[in-house]
Amino acid sequence: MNFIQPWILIALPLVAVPIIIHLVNQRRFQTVPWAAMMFLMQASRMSAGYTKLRQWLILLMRALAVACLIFFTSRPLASGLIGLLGSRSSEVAIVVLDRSPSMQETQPGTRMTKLQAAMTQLSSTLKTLGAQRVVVFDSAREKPLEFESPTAMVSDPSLVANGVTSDIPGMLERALLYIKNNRFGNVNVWISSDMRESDWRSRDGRWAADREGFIALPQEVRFQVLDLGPASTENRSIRVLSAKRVGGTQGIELALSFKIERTMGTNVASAIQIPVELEVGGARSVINVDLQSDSAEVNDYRIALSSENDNASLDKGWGLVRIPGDTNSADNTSYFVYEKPPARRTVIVSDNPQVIEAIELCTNISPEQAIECETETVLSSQLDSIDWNSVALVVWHEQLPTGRPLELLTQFVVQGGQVLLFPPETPNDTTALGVQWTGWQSLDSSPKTGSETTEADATMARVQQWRNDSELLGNTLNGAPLPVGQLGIKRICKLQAEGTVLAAMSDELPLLMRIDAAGSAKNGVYVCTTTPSLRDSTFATDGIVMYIAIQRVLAAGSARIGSTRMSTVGQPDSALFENASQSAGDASVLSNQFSQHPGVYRTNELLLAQNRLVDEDSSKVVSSETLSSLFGSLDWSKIEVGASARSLVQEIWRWFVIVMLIAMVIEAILCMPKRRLLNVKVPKPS
Amino acid sequence: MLPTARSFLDPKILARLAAVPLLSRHAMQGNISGRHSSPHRGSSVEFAEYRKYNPGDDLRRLDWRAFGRTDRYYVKEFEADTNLRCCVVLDTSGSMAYASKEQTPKIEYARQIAASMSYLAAQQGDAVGLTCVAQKIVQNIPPRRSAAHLKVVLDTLENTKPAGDTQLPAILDELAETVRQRALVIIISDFFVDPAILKGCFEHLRFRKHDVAAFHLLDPLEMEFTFQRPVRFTDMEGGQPLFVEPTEIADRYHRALKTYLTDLQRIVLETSVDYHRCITSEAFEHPMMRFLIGRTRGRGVR
Repeated sequence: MNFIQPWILIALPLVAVPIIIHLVNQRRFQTVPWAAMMFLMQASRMSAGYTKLRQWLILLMRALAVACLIFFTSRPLASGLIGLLGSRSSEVAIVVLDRSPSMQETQPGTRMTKLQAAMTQLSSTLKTLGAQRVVVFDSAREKPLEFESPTAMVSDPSLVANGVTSDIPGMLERALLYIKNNRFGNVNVWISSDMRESDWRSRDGRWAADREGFIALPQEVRFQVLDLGPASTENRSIRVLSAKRVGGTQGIELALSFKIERTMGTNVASAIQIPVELEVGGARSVINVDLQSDSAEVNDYRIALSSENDNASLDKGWGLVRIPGDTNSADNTSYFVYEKPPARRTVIVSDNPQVIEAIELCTNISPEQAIECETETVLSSQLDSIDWNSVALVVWHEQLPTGRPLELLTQFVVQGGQVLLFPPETPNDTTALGVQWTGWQSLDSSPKTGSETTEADATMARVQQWRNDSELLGNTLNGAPLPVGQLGIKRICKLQAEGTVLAAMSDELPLLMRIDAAGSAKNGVYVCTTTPSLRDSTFATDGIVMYIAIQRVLAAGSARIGSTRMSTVGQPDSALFENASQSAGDASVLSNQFSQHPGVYRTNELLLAQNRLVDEDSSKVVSSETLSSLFGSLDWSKIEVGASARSLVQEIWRWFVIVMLIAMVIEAILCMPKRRLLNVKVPKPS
Repeated sequence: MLPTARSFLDPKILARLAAVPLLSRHAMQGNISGRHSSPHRGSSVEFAEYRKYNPGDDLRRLDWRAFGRTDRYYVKEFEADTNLRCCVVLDTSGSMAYASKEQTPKIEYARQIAASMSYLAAQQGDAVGLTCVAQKIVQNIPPRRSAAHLKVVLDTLENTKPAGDTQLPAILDELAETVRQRALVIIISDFFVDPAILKGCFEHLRFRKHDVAAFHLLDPLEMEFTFQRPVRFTDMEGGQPLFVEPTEIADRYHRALKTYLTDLQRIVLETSVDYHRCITSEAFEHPMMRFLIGRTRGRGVR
């Protein structure tokens, strides 16, 4: 049990007042001459058992009443971890609020979502603890929301659930900065979340910085993690994997791939059939999908596109897939857009014909019939003449750019374009896009990799390690690895750069790197430390690896081209939504919050479909052990709360009033004069 | 005619009390004719019995009509009426000085009863005596019936001061022996004595054929015991003082008092004592009137 005003407990010694009064009263006796001494003598010889007990009970009840009065005045709180905050409450409460889609889940027996329950509980708790100001951090906005009272927080329309996956370490980072910039005493930070790994990002490097930052604060910061718990009942989600406009037997068709997943909670999985509603430009159809296990995937489901429908033109349109409602309504709908695929245009900046030829072979051959591929070869001095909006990939095989070319290239990368850098024949000390070439190194000896090795290959080095889990050299869709190990490398150009190594000859000699983006730039710069020239490598002769890698870069770069885009909520710049209108989605969403909610939005240039992050469909939660490691030595505690509106802390002063009243009544009963034993009527004086 | 005016005698009350005669419950042996029944035959108008004539009997008492009818000699006998000897035993021990706030002291209350009783007895020609007792017989005035004797009794009452311990049982035993048989013994006391001992005394008095009446004086505070604060009680008869928390001991005090009163009630019934409990907040006229009226119902027993 804890108290909001614990200093009143100093008055607890007052409990002894009834005993002191009793003792003082015993000292203040009067002397009375008495005739009927024989009765007094007899009474004093009788057993005083009950009388003594009664006296002790009276004293006890009086002391109890005083104690209850003191406890009642000090405003006791119900016992529990959270009660500890009672004595350390501050006027300012900082709330880190998880508003991710998973927080829209409702619990059985209540219509409240986890987010609503968390807000209501927090509001009543903070009100009880006497918080005068509430500062709320969420993932939707950089600046915190400040409320004059906890109750104002609940009714604020900007704190409804959205589609943005929470970034707890990021929010804590901002909370830390806020605390630093404001002079607070002890601070209580309330983190309300359903503990999804996607929101907590336990492997994020910012946790260490946050931890150290909070430890270094002069004031005491206590973290209270309100765990709203994982799903206790079955929940199903649907997600569009891809939507492609393709030519088919019935003319132009939409090839739609989507995936249905379910989390079982405490239920046992059983095979069910789920009706999936498909809506393309207002035309609806329903297909039944058998869900045998935890997930089911439908690939390339063909929907014929008709030009008669205004909303679904043959060239461009939008649609959605929807499953029946369940405990979480946020993951029952997924949106998509489609359009005629734009041409994948590549710009090669090189003067080496051998390299140009090899790269052109990779960029001009389209992986799909419907996709056109174009390649343009220019010199660095001709970059100004290029229509950058239609370019997906720039392959750079010259001295690193400086001046105007660098400016153009940087802007291209920032806008989502892809750049692949090859080392020039004679590198200089120029640094551009985070890369500096330092000089060629010959790889004259390397272990033989098999009996098939030719004499020409004898002096070539082999790729020792590469990442086959993702990105350019990742395995194919059917899981087969790329034959990267068969590539022969004669020499590589050493470089100074920071990035992710995708393939390497050894620990110190990277072959392919992705340069880490700085600032607002996207991760669109790749560096290959050798060239497709036969003098340097067998990229051209063993062309499959280079073809696939370049086509993957092209595919990523072509995403910025065209007038439709599919993205996850929070990914596009919010400035994109300034003049946007909503084509599909939650109609109650305010226009200034389009960027935070899933749906289809139309801007002047784009038709944008945005959905929740893929990780939102994962039910993986942060374990207590992980949580302990994240908070480290910080003062924190976790409270598992249900999705109800009940306050986390409850003042229990009423119980003390009741006990006090009971004690007073018992004391009065004990003090009440006993029924007269004598039936003698004592007459009044005449 | 009243002698000198005294504080414990109220003529109005006496006038009211005098309307009811003071009668004995048993036959008395007086020396003159009076209002009380006698164990002997006498010359009253109330026929008693026929008795065979014995030589020497007064011929005037022969019933000639009976002789005419039966041809035998019978003497006609009548009841005798006589006076009584009223012995008032007044407890003058220290406890009789007790009076709670605004209440009449028990000794004063006792004086009023004793004086009024003496006056009533003297008025109807009975002999009145007074015995003041404490540790011993402090004052003993034998019963006489003269008006001057009444003055002596009243003077003695006026001068009586309560003091000392009570040895009432021993003195009652002594009085039972010394007072001539068949007297009215009126004991006025607070009777703070073990009832078992009192029982012996009453039986002794009854054995001597005395008509015993007891006025038991109690103060209202002794009955109620409504003290609140701790009290140091000092014994008015010289015993050890006692420190008491009244709220703790009150119920046991009442229990002891109830036991005492119950025992006393039983004893007076067994010993045929005319018992009257007097709370000093009540006017003494009331218990006296109850006493006098009660006696009128028992008249005629010889």
